[in-house]
Amino acid sequence: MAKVKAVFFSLGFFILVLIFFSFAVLISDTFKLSRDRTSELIALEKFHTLDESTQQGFRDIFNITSGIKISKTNTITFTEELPNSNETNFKNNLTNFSNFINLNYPIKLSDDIINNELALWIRPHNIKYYHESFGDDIIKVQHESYNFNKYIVNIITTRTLDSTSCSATGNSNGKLDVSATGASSTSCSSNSPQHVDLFDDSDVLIATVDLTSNILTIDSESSITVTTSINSLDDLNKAVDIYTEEGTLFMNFSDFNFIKNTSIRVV
Amino acid sequence: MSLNSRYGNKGYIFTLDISVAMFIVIIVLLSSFLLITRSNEDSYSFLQHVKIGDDLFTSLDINGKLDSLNKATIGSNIENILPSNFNYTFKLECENKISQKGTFPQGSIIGSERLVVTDNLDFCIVRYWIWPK
Repeated sequence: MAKVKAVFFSLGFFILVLIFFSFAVLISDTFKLSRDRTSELIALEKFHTLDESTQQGFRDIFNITSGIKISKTNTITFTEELPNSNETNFKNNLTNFSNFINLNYPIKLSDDIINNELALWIRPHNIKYYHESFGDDIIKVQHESYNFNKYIVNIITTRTLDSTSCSATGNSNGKLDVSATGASSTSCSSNSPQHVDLFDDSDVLIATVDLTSNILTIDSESSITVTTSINSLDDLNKAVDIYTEEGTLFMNFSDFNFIKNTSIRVV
Repeated sequence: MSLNSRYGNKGYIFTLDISVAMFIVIIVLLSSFLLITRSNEDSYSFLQHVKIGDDLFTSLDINGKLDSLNKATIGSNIENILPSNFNYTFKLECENKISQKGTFPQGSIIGSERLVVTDNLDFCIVRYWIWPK
């Protein structure tokens, strides 16, 4: 009987120690997991800072050198010279910036953003403001649906205008207004046209504005400043932001299994 | 009584032996937990310092307070924001210029870093450390 008691006594303590060790292993694993998560959070925080600062750097270069001014309320306004004389300076700075970050980090700016149409997307409305080739004399705006009120285009020229300078044809059903301001405060305007040819007072073509299907095209024949407003955007219950094309910024920290291919928020 | 006379005091010694063994096991486990907890707290506080540094330098960058590339000016801007119970040091490495304020904690890993584009279009990397005094 005493031997049996001693066996149960030993077994009891053995189980007690096993329970202690089980708790120890459990707590140790939890701490290890917690430490791993914290390390991951620290790494993610660093990647986030690099991502955010790269985008901030792009914004700085864009704002200083692109020659495109953007204002954002519930109306988005782009102001730009046509042709855009800042093209070379902007592309050079962006190329240098891309080389600089690529030299120091596995981060790369897409060549498309540097070389091509410099498309700017208004999200979540999916309206694309772009150039046929950045630096040329054509701006286009493409929308998927009329989730805004209308386009308002204002052209500033150094030429003199007269009352017949805005030569309008067609009807855009209230989706386009065009106005122009010339030398000595001369001006002209047209409400709801589909197509406007802008002439100076000597009937020399300055620019054309055309809204066909879902594309607004502004084509200059001489140097002008164009303000393109996308007026009264619908409230889609999301913040309105302006981004570059998808895939503009590529981050590849493969050692940490962190890969990101994204657009850059411009405004 | 008859058991005692038959087996002597072996039961007490056995119990005492197990108690001492368990005491040692518990001491070892508690020490391990304390060490693990302390190292975990270090990670959390490091994360917190990284976040404070990131917020600080993001704010300075967005407000153009790093554009001067002057370590005294930048240091003054940092001290205007950073709570006084924190120490800091930073190193601003640009293509043609390096500014450094303070000395880096020996053997420590980099606190954090960000890219900076100044209003003169200098491209730089700022590396920084924040730790409590």
